Amino acid sequence: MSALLAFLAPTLLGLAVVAALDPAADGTRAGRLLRAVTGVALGAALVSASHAAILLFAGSSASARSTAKDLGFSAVAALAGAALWRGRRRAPGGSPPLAPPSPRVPAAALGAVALACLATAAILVVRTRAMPDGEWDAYAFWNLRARLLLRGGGDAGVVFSGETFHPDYPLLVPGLTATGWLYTGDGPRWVPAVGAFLWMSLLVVGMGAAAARLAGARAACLGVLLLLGAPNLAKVASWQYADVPTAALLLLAVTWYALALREPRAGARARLALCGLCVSLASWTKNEGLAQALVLAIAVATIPPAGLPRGKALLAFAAGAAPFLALSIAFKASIGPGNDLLAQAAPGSLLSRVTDPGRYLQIARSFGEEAFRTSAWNLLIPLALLAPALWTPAGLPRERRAIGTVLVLLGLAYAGVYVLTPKPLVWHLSSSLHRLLIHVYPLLVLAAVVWRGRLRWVPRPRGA
Amino acid sequence: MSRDPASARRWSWFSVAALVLAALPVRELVRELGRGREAVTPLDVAFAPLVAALPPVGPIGWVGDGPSRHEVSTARARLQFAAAPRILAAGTEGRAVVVAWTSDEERLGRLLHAHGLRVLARFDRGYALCAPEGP
Repeated sequence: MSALLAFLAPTLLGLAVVAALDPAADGTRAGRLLRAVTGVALGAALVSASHAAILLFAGSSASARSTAKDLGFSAVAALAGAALWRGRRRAPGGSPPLAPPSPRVPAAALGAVALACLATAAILVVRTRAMPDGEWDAYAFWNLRARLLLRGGGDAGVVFSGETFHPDYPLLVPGLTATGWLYTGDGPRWVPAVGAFLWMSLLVVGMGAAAARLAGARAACLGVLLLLGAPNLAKVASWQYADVPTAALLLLAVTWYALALREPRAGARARLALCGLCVSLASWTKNEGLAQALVLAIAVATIPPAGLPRGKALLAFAAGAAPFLALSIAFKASIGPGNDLLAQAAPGSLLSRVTDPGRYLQIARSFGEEAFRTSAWNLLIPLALLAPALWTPAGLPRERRAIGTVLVLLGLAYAGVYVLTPKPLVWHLSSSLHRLLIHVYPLLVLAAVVWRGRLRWVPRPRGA
Repeated sequence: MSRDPASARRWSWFSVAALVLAALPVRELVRELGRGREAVTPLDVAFAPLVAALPPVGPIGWVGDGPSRHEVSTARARLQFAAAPRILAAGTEGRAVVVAWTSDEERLGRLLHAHGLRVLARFDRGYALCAPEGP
């Protein structure tokens, strides 16, 4: 019962919060699916944050499973369930669907999507069997932190010991794993593997729902297939790292931003709040989430929804982002020791790195080489980048500008980290660039499949 | 559902493209299956004898030497995962028990000498449980 409540109560709360923020969803299956994916992601973050706090303050895993906590979670589940039920009964007719009704997708294409999903699931199983404890970062800090949360007796000095790798990294993934271990016994290896599978599923379903809601079923099929066509994604998911969760949350944030740009004022504010909420969850997942939050804040302030003043748009975004962004910043400021990149940075050497043109060339070359690495991406990154040249652009120019701005700013932010890094540049690029591109790749795919029109070389029919 | 010929042609092309894209993860799966990876022993199982020999609480000293920093870090991270909540603290100062890891015997001799350690027990994969040499 405890285990069920531990996951059910935060998930119901997540679904209720998303339903309350987006009450005027169109009545489509894609709209409901997008809300559900966002709600489950928020629920996972709530599971992680609540249990990380409980484990730190309870002192032992036995007291972390106390009856008082069960009573609290029961009350949350009951309230969230009731709110969802009331919201369902009161649900208005909803705004009209955003995407034009698309003809039924052929069975062959649906079969292709199912085949790709099954093959990816099988890859995850095969790779997990070959790496029962995940890859390097998983046992060195993501899953280690979960173990220390569970076994550390609430001693922050042990849980976030400076003798371990990256004690300042945020707790979404370790918190979820620790919760799983709290209720299934200390240390079953399938718990983090199930977590990895969950986030990969949320990314894939999120892509399908986002593309379907923005551009219809055909875009959804293409989006999912392009996503799964890059081998790097399933590979990194099987490593049990935090990059796939970050990618899923960033994709959701950008999708809600794009939806906000299509909506009248009231709906736009709620969707900007959901955008802020999702990107703040990314900041509770990886340090890059903070940069992503800043990038989206700049994009929202630069390209707000039509008819909504910049200040109000930014305020709505900030309101959604505030709870988890505050949690992430509070964690960094109080519990988590300093970040290694900042701790090793001396002002003099910083200036010499910024003014070294060789670093810029090296970074540009590595970005280019990684994008063309067929074993990781099957040339799908260059293909997605070429999409604007292949297709005549479709959709609202404001949306296209917004996602273009987000992509460019994210690229600059990530490249900037490499310019400033005190670590050996070549080593830093080779050990992290293939993972950082995973955060951006789903956005590239979404842009390629949603804002595309007719192929450029296919002539328009006469009279069109 | 009836479709005009142009639309039907477009959908046929779309289905073909979808099947080509679906072949990419299928090809990756076939590659994975063909790799024939060796079964990896889980870290908890691999380190069970060494972890059982460690004191239940308190930081444990750590020293290591190998051909690269990465190999030493990997050896430390693997044991740290299995030994949690005990923390492996770099160095030997003030530690009653120290774990040493080296990639070969020659390095172990040098490491023990440099840190004034004596071996209490040897374990698989280059690990040794040590204590500071007496006065």
